[in-house]
Amino acid sequence: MESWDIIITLLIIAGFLFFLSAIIALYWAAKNGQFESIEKGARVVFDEDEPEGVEMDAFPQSKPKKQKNHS
Amino acid sequence: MDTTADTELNKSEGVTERVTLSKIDQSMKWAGIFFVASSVVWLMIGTIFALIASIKLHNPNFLASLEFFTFGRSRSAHLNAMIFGWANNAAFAVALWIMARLCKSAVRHGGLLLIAGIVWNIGVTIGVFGILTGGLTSVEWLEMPVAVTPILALAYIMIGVWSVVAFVHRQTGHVYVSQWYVLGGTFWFPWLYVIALVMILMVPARGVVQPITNWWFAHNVLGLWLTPIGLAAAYYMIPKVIGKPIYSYYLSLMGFWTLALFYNWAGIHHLIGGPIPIWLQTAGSVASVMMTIPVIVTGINHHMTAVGNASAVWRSPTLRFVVFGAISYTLTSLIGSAMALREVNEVTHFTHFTVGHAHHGVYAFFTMIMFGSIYFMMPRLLHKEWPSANLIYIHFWTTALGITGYVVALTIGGWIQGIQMNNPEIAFLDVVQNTVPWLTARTIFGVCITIGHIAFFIHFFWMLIGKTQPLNEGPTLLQRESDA
Amino acid sequence: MSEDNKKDPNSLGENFKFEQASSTDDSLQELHDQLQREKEEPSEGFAPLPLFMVTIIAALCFWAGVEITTKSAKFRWDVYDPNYVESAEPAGPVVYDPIAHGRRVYNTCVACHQAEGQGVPGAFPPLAGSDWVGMDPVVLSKIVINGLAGPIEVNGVPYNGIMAALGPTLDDEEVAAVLSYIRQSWGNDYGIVEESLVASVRADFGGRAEPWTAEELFAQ
Repeated sequence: MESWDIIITLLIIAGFLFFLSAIIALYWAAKNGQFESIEKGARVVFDEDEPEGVEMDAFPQSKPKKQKNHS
Repeated sequence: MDTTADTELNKSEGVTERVTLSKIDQSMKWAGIFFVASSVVWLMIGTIFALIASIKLHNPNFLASLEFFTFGRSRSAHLNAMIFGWANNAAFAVALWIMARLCKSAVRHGGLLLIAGIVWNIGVTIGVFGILTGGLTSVEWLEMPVAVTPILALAYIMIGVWSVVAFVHRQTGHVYVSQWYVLGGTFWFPWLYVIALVMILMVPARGVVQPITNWWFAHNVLGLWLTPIGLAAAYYMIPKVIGKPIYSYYLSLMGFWTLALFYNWAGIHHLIGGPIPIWLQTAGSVASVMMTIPVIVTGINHHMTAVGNASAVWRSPTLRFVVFGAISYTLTSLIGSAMALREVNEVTHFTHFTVGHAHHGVYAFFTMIMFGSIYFMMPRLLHKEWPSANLIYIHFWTTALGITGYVVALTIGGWIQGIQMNNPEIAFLDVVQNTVPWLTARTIFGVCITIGHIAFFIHFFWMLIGKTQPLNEGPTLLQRESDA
Repeated sequence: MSEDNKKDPNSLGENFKFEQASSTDDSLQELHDQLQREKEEPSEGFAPLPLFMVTIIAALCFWAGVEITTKSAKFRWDVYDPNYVESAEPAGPVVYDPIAHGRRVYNTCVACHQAEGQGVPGAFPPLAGSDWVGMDPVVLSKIVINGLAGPIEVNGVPYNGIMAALGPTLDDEEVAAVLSYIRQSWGNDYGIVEESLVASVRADFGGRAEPWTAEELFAQ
């Protein structure tokens, strides 16, 4: 068995494991309830410091606009 | 802003408590600064080589006497400096920071991250130097001499492992879509790199298996590393800055999983019409077209979230760049899917159209999103405001107009080139002559972009080194009016 | 206003007057309208894919299926052509054409004997219409394998040169092919030369180091 054969075998096994890990990740996500609270999930980017409804960026030395989100 | 949940990092027990955003930002401060600073430096280096390479294509005598700057070396140095220098450093900074914030856990062992960054940049420096001195491997996207690979691997492992550790110690239940993308990219990138290295350079495969591996690798660096990081940033920045959640979060998750499914196969579209089995070519074409599913889905999310808030987008330096990037993502991906169809490919293959498309993706999408993310991230890391709004305006307008002109010039020029090459009546030399005005236009727009980069470079280091500005009451810094 | 949420018709809340038997249709309608306007509590649920996305995905999957089945040549590794069509009859064995092969091998000879076999007067004898070409194939094979030297006469014209031995360069099939080609080109019309004949000539004389002379060839 030349080195090429060994390496390609290892790579194919590794590739298969890699693919398997993706399946496992998807399964874990479903099991863990990642697909359940979709509305709440979208709001994960906000919290007390940077709450929803407040614009978080402005040009320097400009008057920041504090608009509450009315939708 | 102390809340009951705001406790110190409990080092003795190794337990991370929920920490406020500012503490997370501070824990990432030095690593973040280092990565972004390196990326900005590499951006300038890559830009210089870009100009040299671009000028040489229509003025071959430019710097012709200097061995270091021959086109093959300049172009390869440009590519590697931009991808492994600018893009990867920016990706590390932004991805780690978003991951830390979304995991709601402070960076542990930030010093390690800093060392990893230094090792990474040493590797890339040696690599680019190796290219300029003629030691390039002549394999696309793998031009850096093989000897630097262990250095890059070591650095990457440290960074990648950190990302996974942060995820494992997360304080949140829900895994936000940006975290999915960052984790995906973290796993995909080393896999791609190792396979390509082994099968092309170390134990070379025979015959056409090499280019097949090469283009699977090169395209996936774009699709399974840079794209996920770019999308992760966009999915974080757009809702964060506007203050509204993503338009359809369910669609975004679907977009992630379909991207994971389809993108891997698409790379073969670089070899359509080549001496490789037709089923493989068809797989590449089909996967590239199926990619329109995640692209449309992501497009819906980004655009619909931004669309009702155009003024908020305009008011925010971050979102000007990020939304530009998001729009470019949709556009470049749809064009890319079209290019994978055989009929279109017969015209665009081997022309400047492909170059324009590549820059549409890496620059108009990824780089612009990175610019926006850096504008958002740095004030929070440094607790300083960006000193000058004008420099941001200059940066935005020169790069936005520059890359638009660049892509348009090469798209039109490349299409004409392709049509003419398929016409046996037209001599090849004439076809080449006809591309020169478009290449000259490209250089001009490249100079426009360079001005923007210079503005960004100056602005970044001014902010870094300059005196602390009086804290703006604006929302760029996590200060509420009540705390002022 | 918490009293409003109590649906118990018997409770005496603030607005209990709405629930008296004497309340009019209008007031009842107003109450119902208020209740109807109340949005449902946000609930987590499965957000369905927009219909146009479903349509696009279905269309793409269909297209993908068609593309994969028609343009994959049944996943053969040796087919690069998308328009490949497996022919109805199974491909038969490829017929070997010695003349076509010989034409290619003749490129070795063209420098001296010229493209039309006309030779160079005084230097290299012609092959077209030559009285040597129709000779016994054994003689011709000997010439090609071992070479020819010394004075000879071709078509009544004397030549005195050296032809190099081509035995080391050409294998039996190539020798047979080029001889067959010469014997059937430029007006020559003789039979083809078999590879087996060349092989037997090489077996007998292949080790000979000297080129043949005319006397030696015609003495046998």
